[in-house]
Amino acid sequence: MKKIKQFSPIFLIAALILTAGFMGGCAKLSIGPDGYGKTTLPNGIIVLVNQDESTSLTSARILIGGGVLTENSDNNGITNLMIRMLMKGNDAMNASEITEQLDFLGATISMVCYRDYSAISFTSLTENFDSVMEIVSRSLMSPTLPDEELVKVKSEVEGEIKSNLDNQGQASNILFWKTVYGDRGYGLPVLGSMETISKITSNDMRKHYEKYVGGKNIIVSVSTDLPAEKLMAIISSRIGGIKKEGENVTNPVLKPEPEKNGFISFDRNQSYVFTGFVLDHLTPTEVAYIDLLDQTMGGNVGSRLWDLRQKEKLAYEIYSQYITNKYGAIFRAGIGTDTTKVKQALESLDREWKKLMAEGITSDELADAKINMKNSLIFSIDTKGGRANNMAFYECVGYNYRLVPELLALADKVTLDEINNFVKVKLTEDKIYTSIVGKK
Amino acid sequence: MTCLLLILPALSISADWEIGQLDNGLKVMILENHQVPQVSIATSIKVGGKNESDYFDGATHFLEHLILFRGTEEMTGEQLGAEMKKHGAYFNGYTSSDWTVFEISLPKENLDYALKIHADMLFRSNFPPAEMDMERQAVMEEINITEDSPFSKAYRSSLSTIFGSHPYAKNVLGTKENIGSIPRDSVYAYYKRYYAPNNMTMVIVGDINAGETMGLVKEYFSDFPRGAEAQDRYSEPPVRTEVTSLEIKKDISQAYLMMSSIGPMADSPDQFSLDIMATLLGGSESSRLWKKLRDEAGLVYSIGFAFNTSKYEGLLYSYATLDPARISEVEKAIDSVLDDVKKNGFTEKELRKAKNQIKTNHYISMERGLNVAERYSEYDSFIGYKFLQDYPDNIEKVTLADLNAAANKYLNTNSYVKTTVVPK
Repeated sequence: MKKIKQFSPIFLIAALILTAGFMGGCAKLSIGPDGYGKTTLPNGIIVLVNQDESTSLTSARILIGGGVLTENSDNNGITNLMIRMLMKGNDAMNASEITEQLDFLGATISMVCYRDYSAISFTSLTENFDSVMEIVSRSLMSPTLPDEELVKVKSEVEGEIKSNLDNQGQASNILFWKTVYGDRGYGLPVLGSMETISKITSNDMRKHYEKYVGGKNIIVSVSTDLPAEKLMAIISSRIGGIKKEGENVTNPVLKPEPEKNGFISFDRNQSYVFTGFVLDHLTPTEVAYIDLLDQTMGGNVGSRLWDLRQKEKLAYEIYSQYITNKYGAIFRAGIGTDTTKVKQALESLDREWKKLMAEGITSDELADAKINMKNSLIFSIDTKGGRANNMAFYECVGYNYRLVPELLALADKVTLDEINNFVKVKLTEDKIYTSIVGKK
Repeated sequence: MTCLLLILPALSISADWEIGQLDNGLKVMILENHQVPQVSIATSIKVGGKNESDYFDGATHFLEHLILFRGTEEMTGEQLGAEMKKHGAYFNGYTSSDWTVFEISLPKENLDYALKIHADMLFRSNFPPAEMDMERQAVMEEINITEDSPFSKAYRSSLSTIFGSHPYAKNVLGTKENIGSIPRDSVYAYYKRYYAPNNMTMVIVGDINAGETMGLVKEYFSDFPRGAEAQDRYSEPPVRTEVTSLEIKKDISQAYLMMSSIGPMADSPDQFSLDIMATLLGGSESSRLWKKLRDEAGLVYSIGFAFNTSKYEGLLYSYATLDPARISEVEKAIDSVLDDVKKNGFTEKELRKAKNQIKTNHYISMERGLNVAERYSEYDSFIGYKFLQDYPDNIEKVTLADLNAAANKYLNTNSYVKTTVVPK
């Protein structure tokens, strides 16, 4: 059968320690025994690498710090527009030629904006990686941001804003962040609003680009079977010329709002509720605690929240989740339920949070959570795309880019006393926020 | 700019499957993949919506839920969940018109447990009436979700109209009325009749030894007897001679459009040409529909084209999100693009581009062991695993003449089903 080879274990490959120096000795990359390596280019770009020869694919993410945190209620949506517009024309190709050529190379590419960053992610056959990088880097370094393309991108985003409104889960998620942080920082929707994006001009975007897109604010992560030396030669030649200056956001105003409940009314069959804790930035050990609590509460069948589905007949979809940001974190539950059952669902979720706050978790639950946490973490890095995305994300939000391997090691060390003390100190009732999308 | 006719190479490493069949008919496929210390098992059963009478409307999907969550002869649903959690298992199931799949993925050292619990769930599920009643509500909530989702609503309504009395017209989830009333004994009898090893393909992928794993499969699965062959309730889809329009109103913000027509069966040699055609019509931002309607005319927010492969007739459809005021204009514009393809065909350069896109996506989809297990078990249940195994080669073999002939044969601009979901 012709398919990607699947046999070479990364751990064996990783055993080879490869060191490459090039470009006049300006950036050196050492791959450690675990297959990971990190270096910084002279222009400040942080390069994170995972070497894995098991497939002939290469996945990469080019991340620009800031995301929606760089915006205010007047220009909300500009970062999302900018990251998309980067691929809509450069000094050598117009938008159509870029798309055509990337598709011709068989590359999958996406541009996204989140709370702390925007990013271009792509996967291609390794032998096409340099060609894809050439197009992407050129777009990153010399975008033309043409007006006619901005009109088209705004229209696409308008459709996505409407699609989010037409989906209760998405609408409730946006409402949750707005309820917590108000109309600033993480409270702003990443797509912006129809009103704000309509006002953004190419000139605004050019200024935004000049301010934030620079080596000091860029992280590049790559998971590849390329040898370190060859990879670094490509990266340096393609993005080593990006200007150094690029700001990130420091000390944003992110004070949670006093009103803790948000509501939007729709005439639909299902309602969607998010409720949970708003926390400060977590240390790596605290991330391990939250991950274990997430596994216990609603990370899998058999978890505590699962009973709301299994016994109380409240939902098809129920789960807990944690989201780590650069300047805070949330740990919340989500439930889609019949509009007639929202009150009951809220009472049940409140009961489960109170039980957790009062009693913590048991030693049996901790033991189960550890094995499930490790399995989930392995799932998150079992593709090259997953590894590239994880490395850049964790580096961006203030952790070691190898946080997943770190968490795998930390999981077994967590004691019951430690995690329950964390629950007692950090998960307090005053930190609970709720969003509801449903019938009045 | 100049585009070279770049031909992606076939990736050179082949995977060594160990494939066998137990005496009771259970087909077993095992692939060693030492990438991560996990093992994934996916087992397909050749029953889906296509096997249901009206009386059993939604029963196959409901049964999938009951097997997953409501217990076996040895343990309750709650105990099953707790056991799974103790072993670090992710487990799930899903049902289509053609098949049902159950899967479990967990640390490799728990392979023995995985096979034992997998056997229990597939062959010794019990779901007492009280447990079954509790699961009815979860399925009704799932029906609510698809009723609320504009695209799901458009898709289900299109299938219902285009397939007439063909089994693919049925909503796999069934109706709330049926899910609320179907007796436990009927579902249990259905389960006992069709959940037989001779209707199943089990695919195991992971950090395991293939030979030892085959031994474990024999140990846990050899004793189950053969059963009735799954009987499909096939009937021809209606012949359509005109455009049929459906309009659904909901509390939403934009319009959702779907224009669908019937495609060929899975064993048709046109399958590969149609995958290429779908990619070129609406698979990416360089596709014809995207370029014409989104980029050049600004008529839609988003647009795409898809071809769904099924055991029997497939489905070809374009879909878009748009301003409700532009529905007629967009319909004409889509027809115009399809007519142009029928008249003038695609180009060699387009063909090469689509092959590159499809093959790379295929390789990406095979990165994760669980995905490999899922896809091989699914495809083996209705067309045979070789369809998937030979897929990149067969895509490569498609000629421009094949592609244009298939486009001319299947693209239809005067007898399709047009479904719109619009704001109230």
